[in-house]
This record gives sequence, structure tokens and C-alpha cells, in this order.
Amino acid sequence: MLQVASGDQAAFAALFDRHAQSVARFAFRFVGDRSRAEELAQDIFVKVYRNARSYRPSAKFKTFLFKVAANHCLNEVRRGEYRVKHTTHEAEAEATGKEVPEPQATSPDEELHGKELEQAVGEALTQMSERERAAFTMCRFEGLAYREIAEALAASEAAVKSLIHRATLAVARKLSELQAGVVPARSRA
Amino acid sequence: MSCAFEDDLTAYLDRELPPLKVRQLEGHLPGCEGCTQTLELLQRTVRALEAMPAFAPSPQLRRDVLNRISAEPPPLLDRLRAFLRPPVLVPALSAAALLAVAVVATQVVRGPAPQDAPLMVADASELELLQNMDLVDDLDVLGLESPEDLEVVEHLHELEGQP
Repeated sequence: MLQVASGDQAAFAALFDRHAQSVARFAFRFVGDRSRAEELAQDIFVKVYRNARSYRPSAKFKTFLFKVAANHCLNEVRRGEYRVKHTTHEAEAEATGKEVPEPQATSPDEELHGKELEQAVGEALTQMSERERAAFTMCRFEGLAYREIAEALAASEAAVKSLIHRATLAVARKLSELQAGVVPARSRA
Repeated sequence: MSCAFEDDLTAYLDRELPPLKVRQLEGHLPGCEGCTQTLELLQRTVRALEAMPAFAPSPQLRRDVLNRISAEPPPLLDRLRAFLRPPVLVPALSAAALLAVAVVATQVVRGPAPQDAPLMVADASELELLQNMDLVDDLDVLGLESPEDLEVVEHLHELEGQP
């Protein structure tokens, strides 16, 4: 990161390769749209490059990265730049006419389960507050500790614990509805 | 559900509860059906989320980001350092010094700038004239310019007494 701060673009490329998937996935879970997620991921990496000098080696780089990512996503959604929506891969491919990389699945049964799951989680994410969504995504998909999430969101650990609990419970209830057949799975239609 | 322990269940699963709270919750769970059911629901959910399909960004993202980074101007500090390098700084300072010398030389050749001279009054009669400038203006209006006219004005009171 110190090399990036001195304008070393090769060092930045290596940093990008290591963290691009995490950042793009975070943005995707946050806005629920692949192309918008990639736009956000682009902006996040440019911001990281521009603000590389403000990074202190005492902080974990991933925490710094997600602080930038969370701030950017929260600001863009609040400014109305992005409407949060969650789509399945098929719906997205139909809408954009582009080929979308398939999620990694090992068998047809597993794939079907994956699509239903993704849709239910997407719906639950859409209904959460922005901070719940950010905290939940960093915890469940990126494996950040509560302390790191608290730092990224400039919140207390107690607040993060509460955000993650409410969000996980909301997803759990959505999955229960799906399993009970209350929510019809669109991918079967 | 209104159990006081419910808020700790997700943190318990995530191993984010302090040891004392873990012991308290583990002591509470066997006697609380609501918490036990919620904990099972949360466990199933966390396991399901771990099996979510992976998200892979397109290769275009890398190209776009690296293109934008290449187009970024170098950091301000680097630009300042580049300016302060001897090959750039020495000619710049020489030019500034030459300009300063030229400005000083021009000032010396020209001499001090003329200042507004103080108002000089030659004698008391001029001062009186200045003080009575309004009367002079009146005389101008009357067209009294020759000594004969002034003599008439001097003896005007005598003329006024005559019928």
C-alpha cells in the first residue's frame, strides 16, 4: 500500500487483483445490480488510489478498503444515484442482453437452490436499512469481524452487533417463508 | 419474542460474544424454547448463506479501473517534488532573480515618483482673494472688469442717495 501511495501503478494492479472480487461482491450485495456494482467498484478503487496516503499501516488494509467501500456505497445510494434492486442472473442477462458469468454450482439441484436462495436473500437485503445491509454484507459475505465493521461504519461494536442480528433475522425469516412455500420461487415459473 | 437474550444469539453464532455472556447464554438456552428455536433458525440461515453462489466481476472491471488510474494526475506531493528538483528549480529561481533586479533598476532610473506639491500662497492679497472667491464670481457675473467700473461700485452708496 505504501508503494501505491507513491503512485506505483503495478503495486496498485496487484492490490486490485487481490481485492477486486470482495469489493465488487460487496457492491453487488449492496445495490443488487451487476453493472451498477461494477461502476461502484471502479469508483471505490479509484478512491483508494487517490487516498492511499491517508492509509496508516497500523490499520488492517481490508478494514481501510471496506471503510472506503461502505462510505461510497452509502453515499451513492443516499444521493439517489442507485436504486437498490436484486435480480437473478437470468433476469439480469435478459435485461442487459449481456452474457453474465454463471454462479459456481456443482449440480442442477444445488443450482436451483442457489437461485431461490439468492432471490430470497436479495429481497431481504432490499428491505433492510442501508446500514444493516452494509454490516450484514461485510459480516456474512466478506468475513469481517464486528470490530472491523464498526470501524468501517464509524459505529460502536454494540451497534454493529444489533445491525447484524436484525439483518440476519430478517434473512432467516425470508428463507423460512421460502421453505414454507409462502413466497413462490420465480425461477420455477 | 421478547427474551432479553435474543439480541445475543447472532453474535453467539459469530463467536463475537465475550466469554461471560457466552456462559450466561449457554446457561439460559436449555430453559428457553423461543431462544433455542431462533438459534436453530439463525444457524440454518448462516449455513445457507455460506453456500450462496459466488459473484465474479467481469474482466472489463480490471481494464476500466487500470485505465482510470493511468489517467490520474500524479499526487500533489510528487508534483511539488518534481518542481523542486535542481534542473527545474535553478532556472526558475534564476529567472525570478533577474526579474527582481530589472524591477529595482527601473525604479532607481526613474527616481522617486512626483508627489502632489503643497498649496503655496504668495501673499496675503491672494489669500484674501481666495477667501472671497464667491464675491469675485459675483463681479464676473456683473461684468465689472475695468477700474472705472470698480470706482462706480465704490461710490454706489453716494449715487443711491441721489434722486
